Amino acid sequence: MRRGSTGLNLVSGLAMLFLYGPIFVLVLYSFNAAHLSMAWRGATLKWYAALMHDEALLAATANSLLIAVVSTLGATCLGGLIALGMERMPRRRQQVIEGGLVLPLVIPEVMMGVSLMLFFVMLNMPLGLTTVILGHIVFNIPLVTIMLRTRLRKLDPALGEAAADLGASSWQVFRYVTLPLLRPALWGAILVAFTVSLDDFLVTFFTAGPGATTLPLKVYSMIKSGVTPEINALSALLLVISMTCVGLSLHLQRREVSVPPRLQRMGVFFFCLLGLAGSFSACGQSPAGDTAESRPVLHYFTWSDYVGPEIIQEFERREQVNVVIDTFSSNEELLAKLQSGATGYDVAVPSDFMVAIMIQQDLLSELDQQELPNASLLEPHLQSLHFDPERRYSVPYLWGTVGIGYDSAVIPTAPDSWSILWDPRYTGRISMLNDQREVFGAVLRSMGQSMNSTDPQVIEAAKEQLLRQKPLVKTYTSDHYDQLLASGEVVLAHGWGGPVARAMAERPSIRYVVPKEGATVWADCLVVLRTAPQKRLAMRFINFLMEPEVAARTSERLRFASASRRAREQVGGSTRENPAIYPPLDQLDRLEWMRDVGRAIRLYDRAWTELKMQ
Amino acid sequence: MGLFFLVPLGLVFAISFASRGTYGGIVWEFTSANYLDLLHPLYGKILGQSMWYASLTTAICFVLGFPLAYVIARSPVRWQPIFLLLVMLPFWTNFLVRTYAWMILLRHDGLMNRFVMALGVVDAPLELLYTPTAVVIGLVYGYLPFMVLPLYVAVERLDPLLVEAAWDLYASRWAVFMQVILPLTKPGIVGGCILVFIPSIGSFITPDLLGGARSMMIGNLIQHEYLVVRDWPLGSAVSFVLMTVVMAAVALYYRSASRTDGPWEGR
Repeated sequence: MRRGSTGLNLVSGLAMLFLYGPIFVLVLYSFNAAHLSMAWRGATLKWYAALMHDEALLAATANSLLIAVVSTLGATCLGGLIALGMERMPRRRQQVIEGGLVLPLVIPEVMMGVSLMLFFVMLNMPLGLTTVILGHIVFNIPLVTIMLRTRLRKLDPALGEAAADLGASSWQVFRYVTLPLLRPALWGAILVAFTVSLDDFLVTFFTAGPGATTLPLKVYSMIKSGVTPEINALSALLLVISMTCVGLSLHLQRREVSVPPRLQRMGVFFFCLLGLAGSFSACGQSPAGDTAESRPVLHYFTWSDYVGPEIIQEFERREQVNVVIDTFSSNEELLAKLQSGATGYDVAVPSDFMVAIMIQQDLLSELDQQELPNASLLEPHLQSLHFDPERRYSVPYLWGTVGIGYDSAVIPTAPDSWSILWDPRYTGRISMLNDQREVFGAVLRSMGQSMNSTDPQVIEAAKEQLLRQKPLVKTYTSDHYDQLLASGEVVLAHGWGGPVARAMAERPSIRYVVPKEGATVWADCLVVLRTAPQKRLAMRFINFLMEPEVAARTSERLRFASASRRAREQVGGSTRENPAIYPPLDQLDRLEWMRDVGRAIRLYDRAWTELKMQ
Repeated sequence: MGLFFLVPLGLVFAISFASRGTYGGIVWEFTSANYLDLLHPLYGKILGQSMWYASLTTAICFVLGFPLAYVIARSPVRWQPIFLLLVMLPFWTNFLVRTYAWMILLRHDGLMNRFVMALGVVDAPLELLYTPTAVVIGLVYGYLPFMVLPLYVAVERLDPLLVEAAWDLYASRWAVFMQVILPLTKPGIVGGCILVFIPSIGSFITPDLLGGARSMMIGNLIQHEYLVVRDWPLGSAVSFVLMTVVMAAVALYYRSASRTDGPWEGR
């Protein structure tokens, strides 16, 4: 293409720029001194230093790489067989199968994950790395087949026949005719499968067993405690290593040319990746030594970074056990996973409304109060909660409120009412939670109603209010309003106290208020699962987490209030006095627990969808 | 292997006719209420909007991806795998982190706005983040490589002599593209469009983060029903409708693709 090649090169260059623009930004921000801010706050290497000590993150990366490499190989072989087999079929059959191959791409990932998991549970296969790899092979097969078909459909069958006429065996035809012709499509398929596998979240979540956490599982689960620039540092590091691998394989390929060069280059590259996975998992292993194998293992299912690594190490030392942490990123995911029969987890941390559901579904084990002396040191108002008044199944762990975070530099007089979120002066500078119950809850309270109302007319009226508010709202988000507040992108944020407290640490003019009309109170609770293999150890773990000194440290770290009243006495004054972390006790009577509204959920759901589509 | 696809499919189908228990969970009594609920114009709007976003994304991916695939396929053979890797490398970073990077780029005083203002294209910063434009940018970014790879595979196979011959016969640039290159690379185009269109119609993180969750795509709706409201029957009904629509679109696409087969097709 002699003519037009300048134009082609130009567009290609632009496309590459487009691909690498955000990558440049994320590498740059791995050196950003600020934890949350989207603005630049000076250079630092601290995220790289933190990364080197984050064993859990490195282990998750190693898992991800291993799963991606193995499942890519598996899917490429199987997908290749399917694609080759299809070539021999009549055209109509091919079209039917082609349609069938597209289907798995359309099946919602949740369903794919849940049904695969049900399948493995039915077969009595313990969930772990193997099941994740199988799951990834399943969703990668259609991708590989579609890629290979793009090549095979234009392949001249006469080539293979000619080779056969010349006395080639069918293996030789495949090896020396079909394979070389397929090679570009094979690279493509391998790259697509590897990439999709590396970044998959939902199928991985459901097919993973205790101890098989991958990088995406970890990152998505950080939503509650905030995604740190450590992830950027890790990404930058992986990028540099990948680039080095590319260079290395190029270099090696120049030396010996006996093997088909292109495939070999690819092979060397993936070999490097496997080596990387190995070295990461070596770094990621806990330094407990060789006795570690024989120790009992406790499986803790929680939010990412919900407990400090040094606290876990302390428990491991004290009890001579190993603690393996797995993560989830929403209560509903936790429920779906346990309901489908996933076992092996001992202790989990569901939120209040989910504890109620889990008790109903018989997923929890009764607690042995004798083993839990620290659980009696609870704040008075948390001692008997509506979903478990005698604390037979759950121990409140962390709690807090929903309110408004605001920038006092822009809004000098402290707002005391939800109505500030309807103030046109702040158009485009307001963020709301992306959570239908919380958003409706705020409006319902401001209307003097219960946030658990099931009255269609009341919900309809609340929807009208929200429609009126929508033009003022910049974004509905439950996961990055701390960043938006810290970088001044919004000046009013409807949200949980903890993230607002995180934003305060970076922008001191941020304040938090629970409006006078009332708001949500929540509590995350420690529970022991009915299927827990280590029930006694689980009790001791819960008791340990509730130890005033340990609970106080957790509270300071996460910026959520501990349910232990002794911990409140032990935390630093700046934490205790911060209303975003420790709700003032004189405000307790304006708080309300979110409850399951039964069938009325459809009213909320429809109203929410209408709000979004307006 | 087919079992792995058929089981989820059957499950979606069966659940779509069940109903939600009072406190979540699935009650197995036959009802078509979920589908009747979906007749509300609200859901038609969501589907229509999602189809529009996904089509736009596919078209832009094609316009950006074809030249890139062409240039790679025409570069020296030993460099081709390297270029392909370079196209794919950005996607080995976590999706959430990449999306956050786009938020940094697109925000009010982000790099993008500084750039266009420095160029003097606009005087005031554009509102880019949390708009439909941002959603489409995010979707194109997310799926561009899935267009480039199949196209590369197809173009690599394209005999340059055929293109040369067309030039020699004084075909216009447009005619060369439409009548020679396009028909000959059709399998790659079909593959690429499927690999971009289907995932983008079901995406839910991009519309939430870059679109500010101010609107819903069908992927958001499905995700919302399954993992927020725990209304699996309604979620399954939505999924099934989506599957039917996508399958119909793909079938139509294949049919039109095989009808307009070029002269070189019948080997």
